[in-house]
Amino acid sequence: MKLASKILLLFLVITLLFAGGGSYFVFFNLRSVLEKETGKQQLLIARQLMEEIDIFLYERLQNIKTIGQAPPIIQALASGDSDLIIKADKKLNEFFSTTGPWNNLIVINTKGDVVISSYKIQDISQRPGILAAFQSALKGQVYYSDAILSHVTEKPTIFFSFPMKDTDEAGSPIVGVVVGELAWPAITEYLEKIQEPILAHLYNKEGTVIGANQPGHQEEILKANFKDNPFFQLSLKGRESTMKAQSAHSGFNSLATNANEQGHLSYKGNNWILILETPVSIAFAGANESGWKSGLFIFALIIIFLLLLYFFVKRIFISPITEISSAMEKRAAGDMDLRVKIKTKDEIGRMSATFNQMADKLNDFYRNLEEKVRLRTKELSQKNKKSKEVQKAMVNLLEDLSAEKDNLAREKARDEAILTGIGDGVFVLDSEERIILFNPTAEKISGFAAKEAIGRKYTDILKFIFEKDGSINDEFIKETMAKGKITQMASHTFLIKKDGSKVPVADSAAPIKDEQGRIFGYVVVFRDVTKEREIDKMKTEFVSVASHQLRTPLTGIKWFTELLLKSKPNDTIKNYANQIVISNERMVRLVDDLLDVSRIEAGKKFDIILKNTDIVLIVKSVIKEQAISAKKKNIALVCSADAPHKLILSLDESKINQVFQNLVSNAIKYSKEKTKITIGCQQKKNEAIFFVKDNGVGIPQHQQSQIFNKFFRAENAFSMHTDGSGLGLYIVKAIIEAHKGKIWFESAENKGTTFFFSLPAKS
Amino acid sequence: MQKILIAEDDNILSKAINTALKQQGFETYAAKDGQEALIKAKQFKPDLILLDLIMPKISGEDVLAQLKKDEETKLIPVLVMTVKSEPETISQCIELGAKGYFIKAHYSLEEIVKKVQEALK
Repeated sequence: MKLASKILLLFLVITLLFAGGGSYFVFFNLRSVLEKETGKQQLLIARQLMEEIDIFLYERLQNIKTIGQAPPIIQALASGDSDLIIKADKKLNEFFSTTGPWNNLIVINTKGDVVISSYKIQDISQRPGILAAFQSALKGQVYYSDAILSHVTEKPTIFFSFPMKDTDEAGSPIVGVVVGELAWPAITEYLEKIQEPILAHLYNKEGTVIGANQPGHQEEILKANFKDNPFFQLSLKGRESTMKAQSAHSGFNSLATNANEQGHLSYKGNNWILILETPVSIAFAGANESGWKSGLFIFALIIIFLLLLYFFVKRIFISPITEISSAMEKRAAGDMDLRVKIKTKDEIGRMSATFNQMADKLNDFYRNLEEKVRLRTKELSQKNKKSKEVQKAMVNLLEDLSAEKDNLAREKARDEAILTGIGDGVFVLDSEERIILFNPTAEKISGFAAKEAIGRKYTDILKFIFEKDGSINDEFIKETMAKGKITQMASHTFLIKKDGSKVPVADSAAPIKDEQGRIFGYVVVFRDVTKEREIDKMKTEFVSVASHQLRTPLTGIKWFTELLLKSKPNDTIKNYANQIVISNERMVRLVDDLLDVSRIEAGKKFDIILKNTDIVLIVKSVIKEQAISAKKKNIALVCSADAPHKLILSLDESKINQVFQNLVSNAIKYSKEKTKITIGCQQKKNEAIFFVKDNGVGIPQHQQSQIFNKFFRAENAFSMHTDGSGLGLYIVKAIIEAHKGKIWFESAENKGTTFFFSLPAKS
Repeated sequence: MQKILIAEDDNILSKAINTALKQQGFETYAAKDGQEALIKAKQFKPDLILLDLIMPKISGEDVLAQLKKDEETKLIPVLVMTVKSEPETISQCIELGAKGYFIKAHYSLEEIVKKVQEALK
């Protein structure tokens, strides 16, 4: 949509809203003000009319008093003289024409006989209105009735009466009563002052119509009761008020006001109600028309104003913008020489000037560009030749590459097939420790699906823990990461499965390196060793039970051989018995070693009891104990010269003793005769290092890595025909490690072996 | 003459110790199981008890515990001699009040008699 159309539409919408809303507001506001004012006016009229009626009735009351005090009439009544009565009759007629208007004036004596009347009347007993007026006045009161039916006129009337007395003095006797019957048209005349279309109704306090201003409503008088008329209800609420409702008389929606009768001076009134009603449709017909007219006028004014505004806006903003925009379009289409001619000093002027400048610069730029393009095209056509040759070479290269890629894909597929088919759990970590591969066996063991595992840090889902205390044991992965070396999982490691259960696992982690040796990930291999562990456990238990069972008979042999030797046997028996002792001791040691091994195997670390002990004393006692067997082979068993005289360390005396016993007895076993064994000790800052050095057969190079394995014995050890279970070094290593120490050795075949071990010094 | 109660279910071992102790002039009593050991301890009021751990009816550990609970026997020194070498068993017996603990196969009869004499001092 164009800018002009958008603004025009906007203006139209605003116009309709404002003009419609404005004129509607004016029209209805005007009408309600008019109604309010009309109501006020009508109220004033009603109040004034009601007052006028009251004053008129007050005057009639005054009239009747005057008549009742007229001396000729009183004298005639008192004397009964016929002459005086004629005079009085004359006087009454005079009153009849000068006051009123009356229907009749009647003078009645105290007996109830009509003495004189304006219109002839004989018996008042048939006239309830007159009778009531007479009887009231006879009691000495001035009286007036409510509007009641006149038997003469068949219309409403009011009876006034006054007691006539001889003198003015108080207590003077009543001689008669004068009764006046009001001529009702006088009241109607007041109402008729109110003109069409206003309806005026006078009601008595019971709601019966007693007067109306319009001829069409005369029939309602004294007949229709309008107690339920909403307008009448209005009068009960307040003295003077206004309301709008449907009229019970005309049926029109009317604006009604009431004025309640208040009386005037001694005339207290009968609580009559005057109601004026104006039919809204008729009364405001003119007002409606003028309201519509002014609304339309305002509507037209606003439209004209906005149209003017639109044309101004169009002239000032839209036309220039349209011109610039069409210039731009033409410029874009290729009209290079087009310029905008707007020269105003506002923003639009500046915009057109800028456009012109821009057009100039663009033209310059194009001209330059064309020149450059021409030059470049030349160069390019030369280069094109060359590049075609290069392209050919590239195509060849790409063909080679794609063949290489196929090879790689095949290799990758093969690797993946291997990983998938492998019986061990395998997962691969990237350098950020996130899992990037998780094989089906790993899924099976861990319970995690590859989907769940891949992309997450292995520490988030795979918890390797120590069997003993449940603490995290992924040290083997950490160490692989830190050192870039293949690292074995610590023994007795559990993996917590997805369902929370634990499965014993074993194996290792290894770094993955690229061709330059840079580590870009790690592969962790683990396998479920539940069955292995069960078998191990059974084996260990068997060894333990068997060992215990063996000890008892061994003890029997030991003790009875001892008793035998004590029983003074001959030399042959003594010699035999000594052989039994040696064999028995070997057997006892073997059982001891087996029990130690079974404890290590069961995962129970040596429960070493650490005490501050002088290790030099231990060394000395071992030397003393082993001296006999050393002497047998003429081996010098010595302490190194630089050993300290005293060295207190925190250790388990019996276990360290066992270590030295083992190492020294091994050294003796594997030494040739007349050699030397040195036990040494070096104290360092945080640790103490001990060694047992021999000049024996040494350990063959290719078997050195297995020397601490249980039941392992080097091949040259067998050739020495010495006894040995292959358990000693295994146990020694376990003891040293239980002390948080380390054990290692240096050995050369046929030259000798030195075993070192370290123990932490007290901190 | 000092009285030694030997609580040992193995006949051969019992006989060996019995012989060694008698040679040294001790009066000995033998019990074949834990129950018998408890009865004889009360009956003969020995000066020392050599107590095996693995025995029928009542284990050596329980015998030791009951001896130490009973006013009549709680002061009798007890030397535990057994094939069990687990550190936890040793410390359990020491806690229960054993005066000494030795592993049968590791000691000669001579050494045992020496230990008995030391314990009686």
